[in-house]
Amino acid sequence: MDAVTYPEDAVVTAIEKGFAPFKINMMERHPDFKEACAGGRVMWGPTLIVADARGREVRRWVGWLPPRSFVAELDFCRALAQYNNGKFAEALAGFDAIVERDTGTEIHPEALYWQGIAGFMAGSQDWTALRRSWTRLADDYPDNRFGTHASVIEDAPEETV
Amino acid sequence: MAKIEWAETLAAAKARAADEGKLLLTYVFSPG
Repeated sequence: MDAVTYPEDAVVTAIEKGFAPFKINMMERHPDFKEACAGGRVMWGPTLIVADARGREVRRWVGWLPPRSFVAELDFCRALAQYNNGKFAEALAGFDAIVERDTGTEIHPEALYWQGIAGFMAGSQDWTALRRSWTRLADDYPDNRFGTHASVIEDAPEETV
Repeated sequence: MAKIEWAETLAAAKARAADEGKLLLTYVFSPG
């Protein structure tokens, strides 16, 4: 992370735009360690934890990501935080941007998954939005776990609009 | 070249997140 990802300007910009960053060495008995890990176990480094200002965890993952994928992951976290706060339209805009821009990144199928859900919620049970995202996801990523999750859309109710 | 400004303490990062309406990003690393 320190050698490849963090020095990239795009990564610095993405963090500056939406995050307050804090780093901690898992091998030291830092007084903030327990609270920083938000009660969850840290089994390997690097572990990245995204939380809101009150400490409510939005997402955590383990493992290195290259700069483009890392920026996409940060954008995904921001959209997910919007969703958690009930701001479905804002969340949808965030997921839309990732789906449009970040094809080929690790987060892309999961972004499609949540694009469908955010579209469903933003549109007051908009089955068309859900069906559009999840059908594309199941078609484009049949071997990905989110493609599998989305494949249930075949059994969804027929659209009523 | 731009550089990430890591907070010295969790409290400082949380305060910045609250003041600036940002999310808290914690990077737990192992040296080496």
